[in-house]
Amino acid sequence: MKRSAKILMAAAVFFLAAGMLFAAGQQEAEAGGDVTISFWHFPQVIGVKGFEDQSKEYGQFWAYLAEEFSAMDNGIKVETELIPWTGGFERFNVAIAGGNPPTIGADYLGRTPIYYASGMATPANEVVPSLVDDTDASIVDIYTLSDGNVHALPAFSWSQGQMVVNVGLLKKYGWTGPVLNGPGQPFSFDEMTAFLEKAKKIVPSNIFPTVWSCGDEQGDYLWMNIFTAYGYKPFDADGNVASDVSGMIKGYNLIKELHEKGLTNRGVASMKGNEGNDVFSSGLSVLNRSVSKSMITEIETRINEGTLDFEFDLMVVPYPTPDGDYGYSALGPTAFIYLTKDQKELDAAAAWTEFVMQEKYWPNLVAGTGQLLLQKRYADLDLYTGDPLMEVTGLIKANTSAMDFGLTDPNYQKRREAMAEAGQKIFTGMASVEDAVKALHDQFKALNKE
Amino acid sequence: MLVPLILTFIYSFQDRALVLKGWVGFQNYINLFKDPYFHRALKNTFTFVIILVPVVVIVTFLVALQVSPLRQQYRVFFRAAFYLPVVTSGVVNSMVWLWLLNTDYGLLNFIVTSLGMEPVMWLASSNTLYYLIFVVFTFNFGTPFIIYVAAMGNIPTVLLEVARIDGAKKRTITWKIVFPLLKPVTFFLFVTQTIFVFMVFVVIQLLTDGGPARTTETIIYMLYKTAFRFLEFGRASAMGVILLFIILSISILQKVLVGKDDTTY
Repeated sequence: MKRSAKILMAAAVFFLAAGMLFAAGQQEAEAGGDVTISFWHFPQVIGVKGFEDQSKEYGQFWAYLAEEFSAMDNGIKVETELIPWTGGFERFNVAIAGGNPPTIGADYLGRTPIYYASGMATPANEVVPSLVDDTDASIVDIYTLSDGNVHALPAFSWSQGQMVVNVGLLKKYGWTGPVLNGPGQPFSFDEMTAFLEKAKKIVPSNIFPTVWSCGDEQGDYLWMNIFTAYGYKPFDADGNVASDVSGMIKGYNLIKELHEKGLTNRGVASMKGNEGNDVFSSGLSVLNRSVSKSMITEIETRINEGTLDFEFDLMVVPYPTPDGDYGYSALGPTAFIYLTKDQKELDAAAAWTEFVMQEKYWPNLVAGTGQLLLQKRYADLDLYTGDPLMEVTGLIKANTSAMDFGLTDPNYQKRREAMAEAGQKIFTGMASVEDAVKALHDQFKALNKE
Repeated sequence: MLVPLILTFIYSFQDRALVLKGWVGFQNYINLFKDPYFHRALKNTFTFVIILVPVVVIVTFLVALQVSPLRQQYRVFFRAAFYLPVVTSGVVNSMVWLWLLNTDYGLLNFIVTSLGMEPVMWLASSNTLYYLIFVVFTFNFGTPFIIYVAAMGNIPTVLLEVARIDGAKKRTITWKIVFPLLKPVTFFLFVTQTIFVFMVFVVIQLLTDGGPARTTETIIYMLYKTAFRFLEFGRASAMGVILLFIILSISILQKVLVGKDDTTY
C-alpha cells in the first residue's frame, strides 16, 4: 500500500472513531437529561458582602454561583463568561448573528430589544413569570412590549441622575454658609445657577469650579433628566416620538447659557465620551462620575496614593428641576435576556435565574454592583445606609416615577445618536437650538416609520 | 480572506439585521446613495485622503532628504524617533492625543491659555476634522520616512557625484535625479498610504466617535457603526463593497498615472 493511501485510511479510521465517540457522548447526555446553559455577563459584581473571598475579581462571583448551582446535582450545568465592556456589545451581536448566542445574556436593557428583534429570544414573562411579577411594577410597565410581553427580565438598576458636590474643596477656597438646600434635597435651576456662579468666583480658574459629578453613567440620561424636568416626554402612549419638543428646547437653552458662562464642563459640547456626557464634571473634579462603588474606590485610591490636596466632604443632591422638586427617575436596568427557544434550556435558565435571585445571594450581589434592587420582595431591605450616593438614589426613586426612554424600541441606539448629534450641533454653533431640535424631531419621526 | 469577501457581497443584497430578513436587490446601495450622512462620510474620507496622502509623502520625502546624508548615529536617532508612533499601539497613541487635546486640562490648551487666548475645543468644533488629519499625520509619518531613508541610501553615489561634477545644484539633483529614481518607492507609498488613510478608524473612534454632529465620520467608521451599533449588516456590507471598489479604482488609477517602473541605475 502506498504511503499516501495509508495516511488516508488512518485519517478515515480516526474520524470514524471520533464520530462514534461524539455520538455516544450525545446519547449519554440526552439519556441522563443533562443540559448545559451559558450565561454571559459584564464586569459588574465585585466585593459581595459575606462572599468577599468569592468575589475579589469581576466574574468570580458568577462562576462561584454556577459551581454552587451545579453542586445541587440537578442535571444543569451553567457556563459563565465574563464579557469585557470594550467590545462586549459587538461580541453579543456577532454571537447572535452567527446563530450561537449565550442562553442568557445579562446586558443593559437598552440593548436587549435589538437582540429580541432578532427573533431568537423568548419573553421573560414566559420563562420566569413569577420573577417578572416580583419586579418593580413601574419598571415592568416601561419594558413591556405592545404585545404584552416583557422581552427581558429587569435585574438590577443603574442609579439616577444626581450630583455630588465636594464641599471640602469649596471650603478650602473660603466657601461659607450652606451649600444649596443640603444633602438629598431638591433644588431649582435658578438655585443651581446662583450656586455655580458663586462657586466659580472663589475657586481658582485652573480648577473646575463646580467639582460636581453625576451618579449616573449614562450621560444622555442626564440630558433627558433636564429635558423631562422641563416637561418633555420622549414618547407617547403608543411608543412613538412625542410631538411637543418645547421642553427639549428649554433644556438645551439652559445648558447652552450655562456653557457660555463657563459654568459647565467644557467637554459638554461633545455630548459624548468620558466627560462630554457630564454637564458639570471634569477630570479636575477628581470625582469619578460613575456609580457609588467606583466613585468611592477612586477616592480611596487617591487617598492611598496621597494625591489629594484637599479634603473630601461629599454632598449628594438630586438633579435640579425648574421648580425645585425631584423630577423624574432615570433607570437603566441590567436585564436577563433568554436567547433560546429550546424548552429544556429555558427551564434550566429559569432555574438558574431563581437560584441566583434567592435572598442568600441576590441582595448583596446587587449591592456589589453599587446599583438598586428591583425585586418587590427585597423592597424593605436596607442595603445602603452610610453610602450617601445610594441613599439619595433611593430617595429619588421613592419620590418619582421611572422615566420611559423608549428602551423597548430596537431603534433606541439610533435615537441616542441623533440626540447627541443635535447637542453637538448646538454647542459647536453649527445650528441654533430650535433648528437642531427640529431636525432631531424629524429624525425621530423617520425612525418611527422604520 | 475569500469567504468574508464573498459573504460581504451576498449580504449587501440582503436586509440583514442580526438575522436574515429577506433579499432586497440593490436597495441597500440605492438607500446609501440617497443618504446625506453617507455623502458626508464619502466627502470626509476623500478630504482625509486628498490632504493627508500627498502631505505625508512629500513631507517624509523632504525630511528623509535632510536626514539621509547625516552620520549613522543621527540617522539611527531620527529613524527611531519617527518610527516610534508606528510601533506603538494606535490606541495608546490616540489616548495620548486625547489627553493633549483635552479642553480643560490638555497640554495644547495649557499652551493656548498661557498665551492669553481662549481654550480651543479641539474635538468639538467645526474644524475637528482637520485636527484629526494632523493627528493621523503624526501616526503615518514613520513608515514612509524609514522607506525613503533606506531607498535614498541605495541610490548609487556615483550618480550624484557625476551630477555635482557637471555643475548641478542641490535642487536640481533632488528633483531631477533623486526624486525620479525614487518613483517606484513613491508609487508604493501613495498606494499604501491611500489604503491606510481609507482605513483610519481607531483615531476617530477614540477621539471623536465621528462627532461633533457626525462631521468626522468616514466611510469605514460609518460602516462600523452601521454594522455593530445599529446592527444593519446588509447596509454595512454595501458600504464595504463600495469602499472596496473605490480603493481598487484609485489603486489602478495610481498605477496608470505614476506606477510604471522604468527606473534603472
